[in-house]
Amino acid sequence: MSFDEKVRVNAYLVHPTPHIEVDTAKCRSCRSRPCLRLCPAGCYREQPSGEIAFYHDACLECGTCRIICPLGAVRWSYPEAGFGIWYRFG
Amino acid sequence: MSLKFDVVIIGAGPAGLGAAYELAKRGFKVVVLERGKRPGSKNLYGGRIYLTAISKVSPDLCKEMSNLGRRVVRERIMLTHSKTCMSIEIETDEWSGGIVTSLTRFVEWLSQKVEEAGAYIVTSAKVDALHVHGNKTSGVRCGSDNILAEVVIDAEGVNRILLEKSGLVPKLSPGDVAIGVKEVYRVDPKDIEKMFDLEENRGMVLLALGEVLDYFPGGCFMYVDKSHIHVGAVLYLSNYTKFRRTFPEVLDSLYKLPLFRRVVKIGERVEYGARLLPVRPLQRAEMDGLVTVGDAGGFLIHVGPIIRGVDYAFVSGVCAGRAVAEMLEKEKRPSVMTYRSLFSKYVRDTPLMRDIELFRRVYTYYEAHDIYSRYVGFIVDLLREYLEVKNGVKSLNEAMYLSMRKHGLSIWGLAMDYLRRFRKM
Ligand SMILES: Cc1cc2nc3c(=O)[nH]c(=O)nc-3n(C[C@H](O)[C@H](O)[C@H](O)COP(=O)(O)OP(=O)(O)OC[C@H]3O[C@@H](n4cnc5c(N)ncnc54)[C@H](O)[C@@H]3O)c2cc1C
Ligand code: SF4
Ligand code: SF4
Repeated sequence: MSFDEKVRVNAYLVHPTPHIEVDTAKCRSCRSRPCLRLCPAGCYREQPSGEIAFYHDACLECGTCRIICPLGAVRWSYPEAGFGIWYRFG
Repeated sequence: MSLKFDVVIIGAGPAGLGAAYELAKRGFKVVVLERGKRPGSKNLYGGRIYLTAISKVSPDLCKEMSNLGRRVVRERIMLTHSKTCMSIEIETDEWSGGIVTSLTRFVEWLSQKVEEAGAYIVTSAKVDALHVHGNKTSGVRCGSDNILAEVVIDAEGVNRILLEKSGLVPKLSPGDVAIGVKEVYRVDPKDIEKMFDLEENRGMVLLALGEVLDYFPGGCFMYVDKSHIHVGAVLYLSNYTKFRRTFPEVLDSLYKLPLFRRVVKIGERVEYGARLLPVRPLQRAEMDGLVTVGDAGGFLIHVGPIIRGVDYAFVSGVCAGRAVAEMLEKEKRPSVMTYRSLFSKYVRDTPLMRDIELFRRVYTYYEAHDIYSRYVGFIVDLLREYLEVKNGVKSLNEAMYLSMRKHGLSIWGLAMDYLRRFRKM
């Protein structure tokens, strides 16, 4: 099952402004790119051009990308109050 | 705007709510600030709450708590290796004191109790910063509001953004944490009882190690709740660069195991979530006017597949609440020294400190890769050699020898490992 299918069942209140900022210029020199595999929601995607693109909509607010990014490219915060993932069966 | 309370609590998780309950009961003016839209909406865990420690500190709440989910009467550990799975199961009529429930449900219920006791819970309230001046914390900033308090109780969870931002704790490193990813399936309670051969209100726990997680430290789980089944994986991040699969891939292969496969087949998938959990003892931040509880204070034990977070979060919150109450009653100025001695007094009667001390001594053993790879493989192959008659009947001794050789183990090595590690685990 793909990332998109996995998160499809979730409830979210998505804020239009991303709560996480990724300095994708730094990603160019990132060889291992662990965010691609370890972000459980697939928020990090590799473009055909090789660039990294970040989409915040499906974020589960786990904080993994903040901790594993080896180049400090992730500026992480929680979404605005009341927004983001809404767990109902957590 | 500036507001003033006796105590402000950051986060309406089990830890923050435990503290709020105690303080509100004693008549203090308490506010809990929670960034989620509703209590429970940001809380996620595996699925089992141990009630033993909770019953010691809050017998009144514990009674009602025990009805929030199914009582665990059966546990199965599955060792998986080269497409084979070996299970060890324990079943008892005597309830071990654990329940399977959802953390969202638990937090919703506890919030009600806390509000009845007289605390304010403000939701959609994200704390942006702590007010720290020198060695003292005097309140928090929340949006455009400044909230002042004699004591701030930080119960923000494992992602200690506020403590990190104030420079009170170092940034989490991958080795400090594991990531847990889980899915929830809705299943008719009658079907659950039939499928798992369980009585009404009785539940079970299943933990799987080894091949299911590519032999990485951590494991997979299934918790059988009233009408939901929680399935997922916990991966230590210490060696994360070597992990080659994505979580959807991990789950898809987990669903090939018996029982897991059936849950997916008859259940309706209703949620997919993730969170971090500490797997090393985290440094605790405290100062005059600031107390930390729950995951934020490192009150969690994670030994291999066993995670005890909710009960320790709650108990640490309750003891902190009591200590803060006594401190504020006794003296006008909160001091960290007084708090520490009062906190020690209240936790003395609980297993909390002893268990956390134990955890400090053994956690490194559970990070070791070979437990999940070589040893899991060894045990599974031992049994397989013994039971499979393909190559002729073997004695237990022969089976052990063959399996040891296959996994590069020797009697000497096993004995040393027993003395060095297993004994202490
Ligand atoms: C996959 C997984 C499985 C687990 N399984 C189990 C298990 O089976 N049994 C068990 O006992 N434990 C388990 N745990 C551990 C358990 O979930 C935690 O130890 C427990 O939830 C900790 O409670 P807490 O109150 O400290 O923090 P949390 O439950 O994380 O609560 C923190 C709260 O603070 C809020 N918050 C954070 N920052 C802010 C801010 N700036 N402003 C306002 N609010 C804020 C959050 O929204 C949240 O509601 C598991 C953990 C994981 C990740
Ligand atoms: S790990 Fe960090 S630097 Fe590397 S690709 Fe991901 S975000 Fe970019
Ligand atoms: S916080 Fe978690 S879910 Fe959100 S982008 Fe980072 S890794 Fe992905």
